[in-house]
Amino acid sequence: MTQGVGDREGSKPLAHIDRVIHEPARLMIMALLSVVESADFLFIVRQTGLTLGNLSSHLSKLEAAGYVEVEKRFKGKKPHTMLRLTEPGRAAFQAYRQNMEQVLGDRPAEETGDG
Amino acid sequence: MTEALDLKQLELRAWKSMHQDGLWELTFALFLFAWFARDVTGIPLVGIGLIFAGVLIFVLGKWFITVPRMGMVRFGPARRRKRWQLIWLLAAGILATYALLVLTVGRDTPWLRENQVGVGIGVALFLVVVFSAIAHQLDCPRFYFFGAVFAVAELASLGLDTPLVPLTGSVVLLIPGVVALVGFQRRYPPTGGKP
Repeated sequence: MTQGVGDREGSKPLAHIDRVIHEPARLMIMALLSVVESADFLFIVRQTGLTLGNLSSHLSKLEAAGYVEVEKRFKGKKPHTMLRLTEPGRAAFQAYRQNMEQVLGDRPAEETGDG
Repeated sequence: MTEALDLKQLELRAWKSMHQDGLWELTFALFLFAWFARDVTGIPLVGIGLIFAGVLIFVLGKWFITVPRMGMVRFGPARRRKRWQLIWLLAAGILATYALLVLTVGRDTPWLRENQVGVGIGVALFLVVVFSAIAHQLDCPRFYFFGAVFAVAELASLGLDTPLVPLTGSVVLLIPGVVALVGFQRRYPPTGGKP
């Protein structure tokens, strides 16, 4: 868990990394929704390459966290799901980006090589 | 999902993916075919009808091919602002062209008959400017290509007085359009109504 790491001096931002967003598939969904106003389920599937089931599962977690608003409606007889980031979701994503920049941005120049 | 997460690139990629269905190419190919058909038949209504058919094919294609396979998306305010700027720009361009036509062709200006080459070059330049503006505003570099094809067709028609010129231009756009449309349909097969 990040809590222990965050307790160390100089590693405070790690403690604030949002683990709901930090998972790669959810990060991709959040990033995509952050650059558009809204998109439907299929569009997210096409852009992220996730399967329908996978996306559905990740969206449930994001929706439970209050980051994504899922609007279900019908187009004729077919169900149609529109997704958008909520304001807290946008704020959380912005905070996540800032934290990650802080965590990874201060890498010393001499550590850029693998050896 | 292994590439770096560049939000600008992500947005641009999402935007471009909605325009890689070949429908723009097919629509403009039909516009050039309308020019050819008008020249061959001598009936302006045939050309106008084909232009409307092109617009209809574009709208129906988006509705029945692109959206069911690619999904729906509403882009942010920056894209919408750019689109409105383009609409105003094109509306102003159309009005200016109409005014120019009323002031020149409508009055049977002899200058026009004597300077057909100059007028042709002017029209070609105008087409390049219009398509370049669209390419810039829509972030679609293919519109530079469309502009070049239309401008070359206009210039070529000055020297070669044959309907084969717009027909050739139409084929030049039709081929990549069909290739893009087939590729799009293969890349994004129907989802069978899910989700």
